[in-house]
Amino acid sequence: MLQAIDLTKRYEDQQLALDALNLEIKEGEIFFLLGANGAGKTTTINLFLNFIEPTGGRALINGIDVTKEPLESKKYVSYVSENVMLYGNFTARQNLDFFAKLGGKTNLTRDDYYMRMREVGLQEEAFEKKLKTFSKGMRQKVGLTIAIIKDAPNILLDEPTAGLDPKAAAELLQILVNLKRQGKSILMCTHDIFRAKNIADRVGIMKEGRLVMVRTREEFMEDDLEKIYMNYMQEMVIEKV
Amino acid sequence: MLRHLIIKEIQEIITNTRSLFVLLICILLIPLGLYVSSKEYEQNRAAYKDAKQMYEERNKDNKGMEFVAEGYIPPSPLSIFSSGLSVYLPNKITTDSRGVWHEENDYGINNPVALLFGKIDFYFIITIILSLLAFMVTFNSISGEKENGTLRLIVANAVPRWKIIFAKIAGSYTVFLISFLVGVISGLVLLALTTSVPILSVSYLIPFLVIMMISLLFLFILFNIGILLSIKTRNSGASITASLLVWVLIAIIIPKVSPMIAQIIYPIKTEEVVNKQKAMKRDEIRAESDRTSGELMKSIMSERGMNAEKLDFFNMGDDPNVKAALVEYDGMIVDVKRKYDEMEINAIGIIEKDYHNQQLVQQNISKNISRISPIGCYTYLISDLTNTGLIELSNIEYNARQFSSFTESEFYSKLRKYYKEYHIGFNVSKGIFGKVDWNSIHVPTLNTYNYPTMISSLGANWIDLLFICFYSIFFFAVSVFQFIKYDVR
Amino acid sequence: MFKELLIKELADKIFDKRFLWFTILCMFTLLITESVLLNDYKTERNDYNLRLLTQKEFIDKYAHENRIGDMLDIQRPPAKLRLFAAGISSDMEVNTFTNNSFNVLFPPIDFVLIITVIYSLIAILFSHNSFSGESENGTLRLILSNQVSRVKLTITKFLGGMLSIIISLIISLAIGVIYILMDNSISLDSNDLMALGLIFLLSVFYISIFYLVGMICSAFTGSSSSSVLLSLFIWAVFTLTIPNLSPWVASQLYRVPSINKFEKEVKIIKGIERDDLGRNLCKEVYEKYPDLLNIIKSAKDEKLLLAKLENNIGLKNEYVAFQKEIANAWDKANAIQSAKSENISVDFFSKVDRQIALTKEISCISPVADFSYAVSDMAGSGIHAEAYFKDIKKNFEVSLWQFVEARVAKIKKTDVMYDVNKYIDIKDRPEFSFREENVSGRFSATLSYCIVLLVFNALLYLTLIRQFNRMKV
Repeated sequence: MLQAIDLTKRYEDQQLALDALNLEIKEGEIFFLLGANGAGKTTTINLFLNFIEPTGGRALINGIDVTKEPLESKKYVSYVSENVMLYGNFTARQNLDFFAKLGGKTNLTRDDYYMRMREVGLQEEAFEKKLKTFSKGMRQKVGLTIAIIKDAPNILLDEPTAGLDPKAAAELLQILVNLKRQGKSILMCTHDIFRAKNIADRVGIMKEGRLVMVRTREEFMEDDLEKIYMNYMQEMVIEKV
Repeated sequence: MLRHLIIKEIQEIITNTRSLFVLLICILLIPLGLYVSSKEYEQNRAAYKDAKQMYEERNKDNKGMEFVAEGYIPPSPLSIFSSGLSVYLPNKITTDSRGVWHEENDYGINNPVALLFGKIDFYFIITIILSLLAFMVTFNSISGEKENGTLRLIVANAVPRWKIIFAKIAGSYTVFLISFLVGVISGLVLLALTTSVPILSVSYLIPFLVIMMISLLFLFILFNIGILLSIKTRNSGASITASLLVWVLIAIIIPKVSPMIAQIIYPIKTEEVVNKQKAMKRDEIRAESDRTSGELMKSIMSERGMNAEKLDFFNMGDDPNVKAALVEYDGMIVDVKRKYDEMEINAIGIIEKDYHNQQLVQQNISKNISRISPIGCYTYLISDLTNTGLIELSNIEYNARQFSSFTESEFYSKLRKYYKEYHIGFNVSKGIFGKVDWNSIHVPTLNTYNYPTMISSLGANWIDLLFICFYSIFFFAVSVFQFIKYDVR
Repeated sequence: MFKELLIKELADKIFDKRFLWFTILCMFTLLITESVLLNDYKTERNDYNLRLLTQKEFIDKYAHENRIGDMLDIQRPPAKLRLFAAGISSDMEVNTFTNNSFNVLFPPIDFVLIITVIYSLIAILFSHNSFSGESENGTLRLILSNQVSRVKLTITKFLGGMLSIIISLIISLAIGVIYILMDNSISLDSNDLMALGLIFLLSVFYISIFYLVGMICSAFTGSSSSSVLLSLFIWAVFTLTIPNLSPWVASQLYRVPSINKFEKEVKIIKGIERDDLGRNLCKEVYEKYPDLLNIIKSAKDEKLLLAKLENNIGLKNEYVAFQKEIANAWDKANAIQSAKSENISVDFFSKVDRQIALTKEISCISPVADFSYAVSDMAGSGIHAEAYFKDIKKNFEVSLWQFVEARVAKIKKTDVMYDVNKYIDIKDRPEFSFREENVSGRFSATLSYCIVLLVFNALLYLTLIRQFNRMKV
């Protein structure tokens, strides 16, 4: 379970990046966090991971305060970063092996790794190839595998489908659905409104540091999600041709 | 956890072509440097033996009190690690019957081009080449991982920050260490096979190990500085700039500029001017001496009722009065001459001591300024451990004094006794007259030259040793501390 | 198109903080080294004048034929432009060592070092990401999607970067020159200023070599971090390793006996051996004049002897003849030994020269060496300048000896008792004055090095064009 209670972040230059965020993501829930660039989505993730300290409020992972017990809290969270290069000179399996051990899984065998990589749709030939030869999509998959193999109850994803072709994106999201069924709490920051309709349990929209709207799937099935989203971003709604 | 981090660091570095460069350079240059220095050492040792032999053979029949004894200084085997001042240090001590000794250097410089570019000895490889390599290996250890996003991934796990940075430093240093050791060992093997340098004998093994330890500590300092720069700069481009800047400052500018600054702060006279001073003093005292001996002659003559100025010495013939006067004069003049000799030696000694003290002060200022850079501290430690440093200058003086008193007691005093016993005189144009048995007086040679022990060299440079230890701990601590506060985004 | 690209490159470099930091570093270093080297030059000049004075006093008081050679050791006044290039000299002054032994542990910095180390590093720092950096942030494709040929792009990058470095160099050099001009005790004439101008040009050609190396590595590896490592590796090999190894390699390829052995041999030949030979020859003369010898021995001093000779004309003539034969005997001994040592000398020095030449040839693989030789020759502090000085010195020595011989001949006519250890008055001897060689002379000596530097530039430039043409964007 992920909880943000009045979570606030104000930078030294008085810029208010996050304004009293209140959020709770339960077990087995997928939460999509939408918002313009710079709205505070990445800041939220950074606060949960204790990359920065909040200026107000708290962030809790499985009930553990991330600022008071950072190392303890990290045992219960996996992270998929946007646009990660990973270790170019290592193979996919070696990258996986390293991060798995770091995450506490020290007893996995080569076959375990291969199985996981197959699950995300990575080709067999790529398992022992160096990561610098991978395309962006393949790298994202390895990143996702790293998060999955840690088997933590909470998963944070930052723009995981950005730059992926529709098929790859769909595969990735299917995996997320499987994980949700295993009871994991998933927070995903994204621009991908269209997929939200299919798999998100709830959707939140951030604007200038504030969470201005939260809708459940039932609620936004009726409303036109795009219109709401664009409205909040005060952009022109694209007329249907 | 720590173990996994370190293993990954080592793996990462090994798969990078950088480590191949490092290994290549260590394997090629370290043995080469050691080999070249060893050959030079062998050459110097042969020259030393030749010179000593020639001296002993040439002087089998001594010439008397004007004989100048020569002591030859053997080169130290440890000098293969650092040539330091060795080309310029005196390699010969000369001393005479008055107890005045000089140090001389009769090395010739075969190839002046060698002096233009510096020597490729072990010291050079450590302070210039490996130091640059240390920065090249560490410059993007943190900023690079930040750039490719993996740092975030690592920190998103339950790993304490200190373990991460510790693993980084340990991992990259270990790879470096292994290359270094491989280079050194192959160098030693090469030396054992192709040269006769006794570096592996017991008395030199310990100093050698100490030199290696200090070198490794020194490289560790630079590693930590490199990692610190990687932490403080935001991306690889800034990191490499900062690293190169720091390297140029530490390795090239600070050491070379410190004597220059010392000269500005505390200027002293040049050797030329001091020599002129000494010459003038000498002339002054000799004039005084001549005047006194003239007066002595006058007084002796007038006592006997003769007028010294009107005397024509060469037409004396056998006037007993004059003869007696001359004998009396000869008896007294020895003391007078000795008095003025002593006066001269003392006066010159004072001038020299004064100048020497001034040089020491300027030198100390230089040293202190250069200690800002770890290379300064390293240089003084290593050059003194290899007997080619600044301490050797005073060590030579010590040995010269020993040699001087040795020749005095074993040679000149015996000669003097002979002269007295056999009424032997010495005349510049006519040579020695009288009988003498030279077999009991041997040509004085310097057979035991004392190099300072390793402990005393270390003791004399305790400040530099302290600085090196301090720098190691300081930069390591600062790196760890800075990383704990580091913004990984 | 060209102009825009060039301006962008130039602006990009000049407004980069790196440019500022390194230029400040160079100015600071240059100022400190200039002030010290200027001081050094002044003290050296004063020392030189002092030595001349002392020598003059000594000769005026104590000159005698036998030892004039030793007394009249002609030395070279320090070259003005040594401020910029300390250079090298064949006879290392052990005196200057004891003055400041630090200079041996940490040889001082001069302008040449600032160029060969600092500016070449700046060049690499600026150029190592010329292609890889732009490729990494995507702007390379943007540029090439316009009507810009790859060759044009390469030229503008090179020119833009070099121009920014040249600006920095001009600032540094100008500060150095102004600092010297502000000091009244040293004046730079037109020769010196032209030499400085040529040194500046040489520096530009040297720096551009490393700039090109950086660009080639950038195009070759495509990633900034690999590029910088490769460039630095090449830099280290050429700057630090090759020049330092060349003396050893040369000594392996062409062995020469140590100078110590040679000098000792000559000393013995000219000293003990000559004395022995001379004495033997004199003995032969003694055997011819037994009576005269007795008379000389019984006389206790010069005055008495002279008196005796005055009384007996026959004896006097015999004495004169005797003196002549003794002189001849010694001359013969000298001649034989001189010829012997001359042979050995010629042989030895030609071997040494060959080894030095070989060292230089090997070191010229590295542009650092070519640059250092060229600049030190231009500044008058290198081996070429020394050779020039030696020539002038030799000519002067010849004329001086002629003067001395004429004087001695004159003295011999009036003084029967003359011998080589007697004082002679040569206060009116010719004075030695030395002017540095003019610029064209110095330049012709450096021509081969300049050509090597230009060839390096040309080859690297062609390689760069080819490499970038092949680079995948």
